[in-house]
Amino acid sequence: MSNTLRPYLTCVRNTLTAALCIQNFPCQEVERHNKPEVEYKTSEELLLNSVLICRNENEKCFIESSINSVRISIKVKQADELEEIIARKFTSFLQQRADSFRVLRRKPVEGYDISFLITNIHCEEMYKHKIVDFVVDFMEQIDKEISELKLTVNSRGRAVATEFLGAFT
Amino acid sequence: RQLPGICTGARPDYASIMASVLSILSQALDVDTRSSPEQVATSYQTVKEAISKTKEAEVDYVLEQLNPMQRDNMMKYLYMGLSTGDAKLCALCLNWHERLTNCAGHGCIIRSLSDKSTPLIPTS
Repeated sequence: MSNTLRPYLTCVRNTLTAALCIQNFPCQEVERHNKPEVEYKTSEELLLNSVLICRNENEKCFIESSINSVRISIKVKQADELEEIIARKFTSFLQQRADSFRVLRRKPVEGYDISFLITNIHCEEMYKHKIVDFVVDFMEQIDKEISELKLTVNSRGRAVATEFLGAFT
Repeated sequence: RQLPGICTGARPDYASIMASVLSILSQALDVDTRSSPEQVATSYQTVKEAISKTKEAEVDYVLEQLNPMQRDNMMKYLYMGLSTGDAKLCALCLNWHERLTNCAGHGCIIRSLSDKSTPLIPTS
């Protein structure tokens, strides 16, 4: 399974590098407004083709791009119920602190676990290749984090159970 | 001990590749993706079969033989394949995507993203 991890991350990295061709674009409909067009999707001509990169049925990455913003939604691998709960808790922990991440979206897109929104302002303030590095590293690390958390949950549960039930023997 | 092919001087059999996979692939990729959806669907099926039949060592050669127009179309079909979620097809497409980007560059990707008349996520 891990033999597709490297090509999957390379594909996401290449697609992101290409899709992050964004510039400032004030809103066409409303005066003096400047909105990330990928979120509103009001004008067809401002959007690029969205791309769905699947590694398998459970893991995918949805990249939507527009003239001034890019939205990246990730579905992480969740093998069983415990991993689902852990993933949900972990992503909600990150999403509540989305301000400090800057590129993180507070709510994931429908059908995915976590979403990033990168606007032209982020590209002006930060290096584009570093933003791409961040997203790809995130995708790589989140699987490891979730398995680590799962291991600690299981070992803690085992320790607690032994202690508690040891009182009865 | 088996040495890898590159050490023994084994090269892909270019003649047979030309005859089989490359000709089918070139034909399928010459179809303009802006044409009718049925034609695009048939080309997509042909491309899928062709890439699953190509051997590992021949992929780079096949990609180099395509002209820029065909490479752009190839990228579009790869993205269509990646959107399906079928593990085997996705593994193939991811591999080809990496090789094609090395060969054709990021421009190929951005041209497939900006061709709005060809959706990269088939709706059917």
